[in-house]
Amino acid sequence: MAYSLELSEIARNWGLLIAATLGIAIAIWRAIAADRQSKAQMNQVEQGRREHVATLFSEAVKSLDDQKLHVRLGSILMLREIVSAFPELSRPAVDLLSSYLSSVEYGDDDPPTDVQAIIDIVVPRAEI
Amino acid sequence: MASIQSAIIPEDGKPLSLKDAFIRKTSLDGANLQNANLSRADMTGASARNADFAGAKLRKTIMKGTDLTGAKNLTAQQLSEAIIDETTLLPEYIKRSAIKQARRAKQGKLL
Repeated sequence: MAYSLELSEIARNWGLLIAATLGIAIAIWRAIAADRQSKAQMNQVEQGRREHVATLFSEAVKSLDDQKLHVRLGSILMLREIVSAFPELSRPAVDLLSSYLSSVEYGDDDPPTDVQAIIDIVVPRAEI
Repeated sequence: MASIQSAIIPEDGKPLSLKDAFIRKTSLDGANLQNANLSRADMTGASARNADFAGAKLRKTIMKGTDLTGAKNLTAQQLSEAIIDETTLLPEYIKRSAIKQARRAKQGKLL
């Protein structure tokens, strides 16, 4: 009788050990799966954000050529804001705005506001 | 118009390029134009008071009537390559005669 009791205890303990090991394995697997899903979602959000910024950048480029001053000013400010959020776009933005200055022509008149706005954006001022 | 805050300065360190830019009568006061390429830019009547021109390229830059009062690190050599006239306001340390001399020296080398 004592012997069969011991056997059942051993079997019970082994059963508990196996169940616990399985439980831990399942918990780890679920944590890894959740982490992967979270990273995939973050990548998707970041990708969406970049696509949105690329669209805004492209629209700002098109608007630089607009006949209306306020539209051009809007696109210049938009480019400024995009660069604030995405500093890696600063080089294309500066190149774009600088090259725009080689396409303008206003004779002997005072410079339009957008020309000075671009100067203020692309030309650093000496630190006082 | 709401003022634009500080200038965009790309981290790649490439100097500013304003070659062929039409920037007549604009304000470049206090500008940091170190190593900037202003070749063939039209700066007629622009104000570049106290601007720093160290290493700036001014080949055929039109600077008629440009105000260069207080400009720093500008040389007669640089200005000899630019297009200036009697209305161009020069910094105190540069004489027109020095610019003419630099131009003649360059022409002498070419001949």
